[in-house]
Amino acid sequence: MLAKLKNMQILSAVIVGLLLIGIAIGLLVGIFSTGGTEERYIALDSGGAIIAEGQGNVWGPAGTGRLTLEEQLPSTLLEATTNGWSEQSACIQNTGKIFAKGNLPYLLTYNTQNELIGVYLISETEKPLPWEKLESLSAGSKTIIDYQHWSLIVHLKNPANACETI
Amino acid sequence: MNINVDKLKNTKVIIGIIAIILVIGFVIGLYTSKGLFKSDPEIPYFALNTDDSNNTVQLPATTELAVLEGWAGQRLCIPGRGKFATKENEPYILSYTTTGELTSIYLISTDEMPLPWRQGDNLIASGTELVDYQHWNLIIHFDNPLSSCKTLQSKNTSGYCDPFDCNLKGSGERATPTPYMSPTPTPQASFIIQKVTDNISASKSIIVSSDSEPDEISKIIVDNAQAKSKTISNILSNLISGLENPDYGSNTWINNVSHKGFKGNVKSDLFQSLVPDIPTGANINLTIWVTDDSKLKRLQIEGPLSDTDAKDSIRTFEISDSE
Repeated sequence: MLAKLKNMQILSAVIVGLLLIGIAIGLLVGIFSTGGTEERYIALDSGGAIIAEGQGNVWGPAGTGRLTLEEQLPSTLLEATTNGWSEQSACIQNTGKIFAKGNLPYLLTYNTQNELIGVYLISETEKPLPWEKLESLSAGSKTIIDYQHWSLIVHLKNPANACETI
Repeated sequence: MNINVDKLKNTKVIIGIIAIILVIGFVIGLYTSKGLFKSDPEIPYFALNTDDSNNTVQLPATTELAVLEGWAGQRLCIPGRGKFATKENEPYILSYTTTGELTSIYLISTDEMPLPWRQGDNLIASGTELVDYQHWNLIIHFDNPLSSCKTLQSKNTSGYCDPFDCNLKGSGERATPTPYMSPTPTPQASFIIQKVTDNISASKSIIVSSDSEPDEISKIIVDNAQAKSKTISNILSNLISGLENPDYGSNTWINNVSHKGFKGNVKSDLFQSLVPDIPTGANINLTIWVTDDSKLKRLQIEGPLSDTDAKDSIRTFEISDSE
């Protein structure tokens, strides 16, 4: 068998064959590793500047000595459902799927790729533009918010494609 | 070409050669796939109320767009917040990273709002009062705020000019390039210390307050300082001018304004008038923070000032000018 490798043609064919197998594996790994979507960092917070305190990595609003008020939002649908957010509607054109949690004064919207694409803020008191006054919020036959409110949707992605499947 | 078949009889050599060829192929394949299937980066999109109504507002995703749309931005980047940009009559403030990407929106409500909205008296950034009334605020971060003030090292900075600094507003053209000026050398710490001392001596009235948890020694210093308010500027200027081996320390933010830090040692004797029972001849670690115009703003004493103090005692004092 090894004697055959003395033949340059056979040896070259073996080397090229092995190289091609390597290239094929590399291509496959490359293709599948680029398929995933990068998780975004979306969070709610409040207050002015934050400063690093003298020791360790404790962060708080300047002068208050408090810990950070930052609260990260679930950037994927899976994260949302495991954190207690429940689906309120199927995908609505230009909005996405609406999710609510308890009595929080905001809703989250997700696209069909299950990415967080918006935060629907609710105010029971009058707000200036670009807030919008709504009598209620319904999706199909389901009423999600059954009282008059002012809403402001902060879109993190273009909602025009929210319900498109790839 | 002669092949040494004897070597190929060794299984380890054969496996090694096969592995090397496969790895080379794998690397070629991997890089080829990255090149072939490289997707264009998604264009950032941020908007408010994108629906059929007239209230749709697309937010400027970059500082360039913000300036063109009439937003006025700040030059300084505030850690964890970025560079705030404001526009008249908008009930929100935008903030951008040092690399010019929209990183968060600061929503303002004059009415009381439930959590996670929080009440704030005002919003001061880099010494400018952006919101000068009591309000409730909610920030939505579009990226990790801790990287808002990342350096431009990763970006090709040649010719880069932050639009908030470049005065592009309305012109549609790049501003005339600023002629090259050699960088100003950092002054010696002792030079700044001298200016701080001069400023203290020139102050007519200085107020000292303790920012740390009240403790006996802090109170003694503050009480003594207030009792000696006429001579406190002399005491402080003696303390600062007595700073041995002064050097630059870490900077800090006080009321959203960056202050330069200096550190050094002072002889405990200089504290005698403020802390009468302080042991003489001891070295005290002193750190001070000063404004850009070399005015003393904060003073921190590290270490014990008496036998009863813990070794890791730290006392912080805020200095303000009553003028």
